[in-house]
Amino acid sequence: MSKEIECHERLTKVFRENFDNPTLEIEDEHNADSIPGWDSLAHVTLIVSIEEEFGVSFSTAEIASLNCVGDIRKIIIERAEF
Amino acid sequence: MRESELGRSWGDLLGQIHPNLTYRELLSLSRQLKQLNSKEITEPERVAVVKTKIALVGNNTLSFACAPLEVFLAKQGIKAEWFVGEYNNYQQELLSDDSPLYAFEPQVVILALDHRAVHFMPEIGAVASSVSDAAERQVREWDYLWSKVKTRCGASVIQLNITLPHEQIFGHYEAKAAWGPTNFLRRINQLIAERAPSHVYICDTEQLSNRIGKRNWFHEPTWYTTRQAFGFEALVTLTYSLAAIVGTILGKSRKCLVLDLDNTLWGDVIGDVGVEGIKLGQGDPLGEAFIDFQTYCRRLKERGVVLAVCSKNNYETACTPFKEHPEMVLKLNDFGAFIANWEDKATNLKRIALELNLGTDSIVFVDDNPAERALVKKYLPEVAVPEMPSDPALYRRVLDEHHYFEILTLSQEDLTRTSYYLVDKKRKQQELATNDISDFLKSLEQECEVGPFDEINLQRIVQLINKTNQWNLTTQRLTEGEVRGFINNPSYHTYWVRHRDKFGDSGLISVVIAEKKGSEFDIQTWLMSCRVINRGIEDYLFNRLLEDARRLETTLIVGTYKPTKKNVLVSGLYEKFGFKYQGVDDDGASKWLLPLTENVTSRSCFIREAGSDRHKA
Repeated sequence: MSKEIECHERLTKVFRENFDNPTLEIEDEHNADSIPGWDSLAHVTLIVSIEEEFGVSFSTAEIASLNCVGDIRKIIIERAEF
Repeated sequence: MRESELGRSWGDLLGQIHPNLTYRELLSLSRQLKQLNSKEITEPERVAVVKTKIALVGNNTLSFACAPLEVFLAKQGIKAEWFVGEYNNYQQELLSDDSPLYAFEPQVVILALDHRAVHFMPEIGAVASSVSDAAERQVREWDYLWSKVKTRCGASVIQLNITLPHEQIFGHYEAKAAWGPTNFLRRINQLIAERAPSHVYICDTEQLSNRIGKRNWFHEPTWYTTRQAFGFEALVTLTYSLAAIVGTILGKSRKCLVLDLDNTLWGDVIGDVGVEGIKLGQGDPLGEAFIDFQTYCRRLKERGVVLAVCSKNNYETACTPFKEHPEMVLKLNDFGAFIANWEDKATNLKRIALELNLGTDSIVFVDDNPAERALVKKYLPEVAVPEMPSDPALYRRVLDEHHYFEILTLSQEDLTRTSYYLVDKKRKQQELATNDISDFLKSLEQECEVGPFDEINLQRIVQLINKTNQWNLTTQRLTEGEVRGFINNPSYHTYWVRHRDKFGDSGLISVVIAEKKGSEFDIQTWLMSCRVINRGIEDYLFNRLLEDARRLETTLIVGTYKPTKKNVLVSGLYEKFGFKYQGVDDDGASKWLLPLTENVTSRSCFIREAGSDRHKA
């Protein structure tokens, strides 16, 4: 499985779990406006869950500025070991 | 025991809750609990659910605390409604008579303050008297909040004491100077303890932060992005403890510690190695660890926790170390109940609860064996079953970190409780409904691998033959050379059995030696390790023997039972398998015969064959 596909699958799993939506599909351009329930609280639990799933940690600036799926995916691909 | 499917799924969920979950796992459990609630599924009736209202206020963000608190409280049979205060708005919320907090009518108010809530820090270089003044003024401010809660709504208060931050501007000197921030915050915590009235309970957050370490407790990115005063690992540790204190306020704390014996209170199996052979006492690293664990349990008893024993053993055998081992810390009269038999432990725990007149939901069950723990979790999800580490040296710490036995005050009754249980105590022999054990066996996903004696397994086979006492039909001891003699001897049919289940590999646990004598298939040795008793392995093996006896065209299986002081456990085995009693020889050994008619069929068991070659004929 390529790194990108694995990342996509695991990230989809985290999003589905976090937003309690078992059929949610995520695209790079999706953000807080296009995914229902993505408010500031859900953003924090999303970040905590992604950190756990991929064994990465986000810096303060990243947590504050990451606001679309693509930004998150980029950092995971860069930082996570697959 | 029959429970509805729905009741069981609630129980399964409760069984998954323990203090070392991650925040993400807790979120997932909290969602699942909500789903069950929304379907109006009721919890098993044994768990009396208590409803309560909890307000969370403080000088930092507390919204993330609700989900883990809900999960940890559910484990104790508590369902809460929440009021979560606005960020840093606790003074207004607690002081204003018409605040939404009082409209909510909380039963418990959790006041979560950190060092940033300390306004009266002393000046640098301040003299001792002004340092004390500052501390007094600070705690008086909180004391006023506590009184206000009491008069306005009568709720209990859980006050978090101050977690000392890890930075020290003045270095180690902070620990010397009275005005040093480190010293001052310690003084504040001391003063909180001294001033807290009876309706205020302290959550010792400072101690919790030491346990997981300040570097883990404080998590700056979380603080700057959410204003939560600690990281999410800390949040789990904190909410677990808060739930324990809330549970205690609502009368849900645990009262009874039920202990297994073999490899829980001492090393090794008493029924096999005897009182001289168990690991317990000075000089042996593990023996010393067991001594310390026993001492820890005795201290729990001295402070009012009732101790009980639940062991798979013969009663007399189980008692021997308590009577005869010189280094045993715990004595028989330290226990309010002492059950040692071969029934399943869920049934025995119910029996203990009945004897002690406690609910099963006040029991903590400690057992080194994961299969026993799984059975209890499955059938009695309300019992607290800590996952014990494989290293007994860690038993004390792991048990302690679960905060099972919280108290709000120390009563005289606490200090004399066990003697109360011991008074006028004839062990009530009660017939209790037995659990549906086959469901449990199925869920273990057991596999056995069977093979003939070989060089690779020889050492272990010899060890088992010479060590096993209880599940051993003839207790025939053999030397390594004698055992080796069976390999490739065409008259003898030998079997070793490896067993595993979903919890792991039990290793090589059973041995059979049979001889083909003309038309007879004669079982001369059959033994099994105590660790896997009552899993149906003997049924599985019987089927194998039956198959081989038929394939070898014998017409009769011969069994022997030679009684010893320790093997009464298997005295009825051949009868159970349908063998006919043929009398006793001079040595007291009884002969049992099973003619291989069509009526003899295999026995049902819940064990699959592992991927090994079939035993050669």
